[in-house]
Amino acid sequence: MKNIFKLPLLLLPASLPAQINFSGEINPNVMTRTSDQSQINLPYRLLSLDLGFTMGNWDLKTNSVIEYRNKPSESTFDLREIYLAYFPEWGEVKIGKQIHAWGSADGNNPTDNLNPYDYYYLFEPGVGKKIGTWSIATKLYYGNYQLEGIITPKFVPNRFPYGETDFPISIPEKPTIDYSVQDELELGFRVQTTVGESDFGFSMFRGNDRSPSLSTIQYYPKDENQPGSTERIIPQLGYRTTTVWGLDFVTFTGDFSVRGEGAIFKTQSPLLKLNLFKTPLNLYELHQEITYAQYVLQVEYISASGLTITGQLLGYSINNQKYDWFQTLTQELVTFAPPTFQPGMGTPFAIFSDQSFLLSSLGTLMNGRLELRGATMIDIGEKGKMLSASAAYSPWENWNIDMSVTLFSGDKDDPENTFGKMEAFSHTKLGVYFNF
Amino acid sequence: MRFTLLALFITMAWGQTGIDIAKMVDDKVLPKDMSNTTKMVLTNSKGKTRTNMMMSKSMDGNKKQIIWFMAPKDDRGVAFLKIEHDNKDDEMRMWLPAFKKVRRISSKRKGDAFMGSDMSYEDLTNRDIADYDYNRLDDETINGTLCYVLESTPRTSANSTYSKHLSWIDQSSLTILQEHSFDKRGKLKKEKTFKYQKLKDYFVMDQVYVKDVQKNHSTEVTFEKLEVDSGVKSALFQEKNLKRIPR
Repeated sequence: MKNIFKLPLLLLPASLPAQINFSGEINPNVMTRTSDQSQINLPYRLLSLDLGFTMGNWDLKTNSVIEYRNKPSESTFDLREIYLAYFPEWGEVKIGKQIHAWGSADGNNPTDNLNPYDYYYLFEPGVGKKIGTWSIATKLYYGNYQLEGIITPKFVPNRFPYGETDFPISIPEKPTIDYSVQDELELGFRVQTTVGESDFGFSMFRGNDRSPSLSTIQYYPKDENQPGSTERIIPQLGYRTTTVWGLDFVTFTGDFSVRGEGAIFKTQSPLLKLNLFKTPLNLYELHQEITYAQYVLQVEYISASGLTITGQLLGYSINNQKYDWFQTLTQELVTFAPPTFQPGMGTPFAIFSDQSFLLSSLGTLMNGRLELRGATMIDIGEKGKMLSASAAYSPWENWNIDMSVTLFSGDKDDPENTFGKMEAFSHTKLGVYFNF
Repeated sequence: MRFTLLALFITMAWGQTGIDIAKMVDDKVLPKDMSNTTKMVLTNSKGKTRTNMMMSKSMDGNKKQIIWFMAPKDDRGVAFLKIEHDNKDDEMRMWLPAFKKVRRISSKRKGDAFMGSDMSYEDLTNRDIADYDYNRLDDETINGTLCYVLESTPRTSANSTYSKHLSWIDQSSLTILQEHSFDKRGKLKKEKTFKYQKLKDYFVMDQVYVKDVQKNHSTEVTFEKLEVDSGVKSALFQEKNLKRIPR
């Protein structure tokens, strides 16, 4: 019996170097509304820990967080990533729960749809806004080329702040998903190459929408023989499938860095696997085929004094829409009003408006101890903008005090204006960071 | 006979032109590879300091270099890869763990400061001897060491942010002990001093001090745990290795 436990140790070469490494941050913070200084009660990541183990060409990496809410005081542990990485001569292989990142632009990436978003952290930079998924990723380095393939066998939707009254765009309650994902398997590949001082990438991803959409309705017409009877429609939700083809690039011209991405999405309703013997007579299926596109064009300039200025143009357009309603049992086409299309994939900020412009700046003073940031996002098509400014000061090594203010302004005459809905979320934020 | 020898000596000593000296320095045998731990202390005009710690590996006379940032903690995990090419554009890439991305950065913006220091990317890049014109000035003595004084003026092909450099070169070891760099207006921009230690058969830089006289800001870089010719492989200088801090 004891020999069985010794066997794994015997298999490990004794000469392989091994090390444990860790880092993390503790970040208590508080957000208050600019309108009345009331506290915004949303969860945030109080503690983040990266813990890893390295042996030879193998890495075991984990990222864990403690998510905390001030009122009522409650905390939740979240293992965001845990995966095994192997680094052979030709590239890398990663297996486990992990977050991926594709694309050349910063912050808004239409070609990066491998992971769902956590809407509680939509304004977090980098991978902070993503949710890890169980997947296998392989990357091959061959000369100037990189080839990457990803398989995700288990579907994970976006995390929405259902029932959060303090969230800028509130969603009343968690909807019932009547149809689970028909095919959970998601696949993607990306090829990148270098030409001169430019990098170009081409990608393809086939997966399931990260947010549910209308799949069927149960329709009860008005009964003329029943006084007071009204027409009733019970919507039922499911997940569409989407295939994304993307292109991204980075190049440099003079003093400017230019990064760009464009993606075409083809979304369609999956074939529902219904038990016809249990299907109600008044069930109607919606078959949709929509093609839409998103793009990001980013220009970056760094001045002689080290001030970084970045401009980003984001665009979104629906190119083609086709909706068919049919009665499930008879397959008879019927005429019902098509729903308003909401994309289930793509970069969230490109969905807020058809075209928007984002301008940001970053500068450091006092030997890098003081970092100043400013950003504005303007909806080009409609009225609406966001302004934010922040300052982060490091009084001692590994400590930071972070202060920021974010303001939303929309069209008061348009109740559906996205930025207008977010005006109540205009806030100040004060936080302390300790890195270890 | 003695006059002939003296004349020969004078010719040898003073016959070397600027380009001759530049070639002697360029032809100096360098380590095949180098590894070290780097401590970089930035000091501003008010005397406030900030310290960065890095690990670095390089080969081919620093044409290939990879740097992992170890401290401060919020920079830990960030890594930088530089590959200089002879016949095409150089490549510079940074691994940003918070974004899980390798970000290509411009290799042409040589005037940009490296990690907020007083050293620009140009200061960290090798100078191609063919990209400069050289003029030998009068020899000088620094700290008891007799030095060539070489004026290097970049040609257009250098794409330099400087108008010229004055370099004091130890005549025995052919190492640069001191350098003054001038901006495009011809004004003194940076004063650099270098210190070396003997490792195997090489004089290896173990300390650099750069002062930006216009900003009154300085950077002191100390190279510790120096190793040369330790068998660093070319395969190390790949993107994937940016993501793994070496032991």
